[in-house]
Amino acid sequence: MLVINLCHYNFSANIHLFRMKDTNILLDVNSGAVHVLDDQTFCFVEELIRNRGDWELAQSRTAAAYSPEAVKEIGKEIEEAYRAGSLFTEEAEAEFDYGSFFPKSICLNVAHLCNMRCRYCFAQQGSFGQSQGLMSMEVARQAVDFLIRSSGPRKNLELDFFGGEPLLNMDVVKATVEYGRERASQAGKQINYTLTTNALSLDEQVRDYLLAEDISVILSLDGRPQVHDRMRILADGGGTYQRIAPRIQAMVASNPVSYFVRGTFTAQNLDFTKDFLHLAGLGFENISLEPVTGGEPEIALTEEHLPQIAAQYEELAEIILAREKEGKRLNFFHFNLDSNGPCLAKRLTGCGAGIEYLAVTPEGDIFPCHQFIGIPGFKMGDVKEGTVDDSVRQRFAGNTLTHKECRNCWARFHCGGGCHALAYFQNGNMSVPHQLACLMHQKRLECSFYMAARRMEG
Amino acid sequence: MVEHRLPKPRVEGSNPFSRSIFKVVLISDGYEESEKVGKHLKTVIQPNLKNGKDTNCRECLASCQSACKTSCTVGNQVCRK
Repeated sequence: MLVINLCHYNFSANIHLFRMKDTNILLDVNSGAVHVLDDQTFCFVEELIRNRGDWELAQSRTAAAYSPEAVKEIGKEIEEAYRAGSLFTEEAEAEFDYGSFFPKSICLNVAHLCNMRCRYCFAQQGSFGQSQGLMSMEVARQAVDFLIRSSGPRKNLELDFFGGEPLLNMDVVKATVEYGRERASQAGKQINYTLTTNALSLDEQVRDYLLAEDISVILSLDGRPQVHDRMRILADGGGTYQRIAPRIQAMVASNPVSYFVRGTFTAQNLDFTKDFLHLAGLGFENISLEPVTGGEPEIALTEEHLPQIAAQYEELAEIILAREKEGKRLNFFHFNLDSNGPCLAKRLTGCGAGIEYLAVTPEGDIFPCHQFIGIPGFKMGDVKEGTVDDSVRQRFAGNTLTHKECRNCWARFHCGGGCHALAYFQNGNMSVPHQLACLMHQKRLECSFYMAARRMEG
Repeated sequence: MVEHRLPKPRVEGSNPFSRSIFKVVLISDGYEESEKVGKHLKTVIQPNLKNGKDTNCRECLASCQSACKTSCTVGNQVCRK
């Protein structure tokens, strides 16, 4: 009789077994493999977990409910998956050295001011709690020089124009792209540009420029007009949907090199699936809806909202699957599961903030990421001098998945330990993850696995 | 920039798994591409956590340079290799 010795196996950290709708799903955390189980196999694995890996006991308890012949077959298939390295795997060793990690991505805040007054803005309407202002071309050049110089052997670099609203400083955006292309070419590197905009100033001229320069765009639109206009407002309190939506549609219709229409949902639109459908109805295929972070009490998300949010994610999964059956592609950013995903070392080291990813203010100050701008104790240096404070860098290097309480979380290789900033702002401690963000992320992952299972059914 | 060598993660003794009697299955390149469809267990996503000498090139996108800017989405970035 087959017996796999799992008595010392850490099931809670390495196996995630769940049921969504009528589908039984198992994630093998360390390999990333996902399996669909029939009810008998689900019962067997449950017994295995309940009895701490006692294979014979799990078999006998399953055989009490199902036929011995079926239990034998199940054992054989589990053994095959185990031998194939897709079930009950142990975590592989991934050796890496932070000394070999180089800054390669910069969030360039070319404008610390904004032409909108979104109620949930984490950047305090663009200023990040600092003085308002635009980045000079001199500082932008220094930032490009810093990126090229600091990136060591990395070939693929990234520069995101952010703010505030970057289109308010379009001359510097253009000059930075031109200078960046020249410097990257000299250095044998490639800078990929992204621009995140509220689209209020995205006129034909700007659009043509972004298209001609192959700049990826992140376009902010929350969904239904009443939802969008409740949050994304002008200084006079007026809504922006009617001005923005046509501009975003024109941009997307022009086939940019890459785009996402990005909305934010709050406690006031917990039926955000309707916003997703609205955005899809406007002709957008690549959509991201982000949970609001923080905000006033009436818009902030709390754990009591979680059941409704989870139900919305499930509904969203069904909608996307149904559209796929009609031959229509809809890409929800958080349901993406690329089979050619990142390697283990990348997953263990998280988002890279403070190490590979840095943010630069209009004055040239360097912070670990856009969310830490202006937070005391997090300034890392400035692009003029081009040096980075290693003590801050080490705080981030020391806050990766290998050190955190997330070590036993089944979702750890998908979130990489979560957002440092969310953890810090909620708990005052980067090492204590944001509980609600974790729960939402886990739910989105379950939906992604469920969708993979349903797609296999055809 | 002054680079510091930090303690390497997952060294022997730092993790109870590494002392387990369970056979270690190294996840490396060369996964089977075919779908596994059994009577009781169907594999819908093959093993995909790449590890080993040909990984960790650090050329892939930083997660906050994609669509989010407010949440961590490491697992759905595309490997450039």
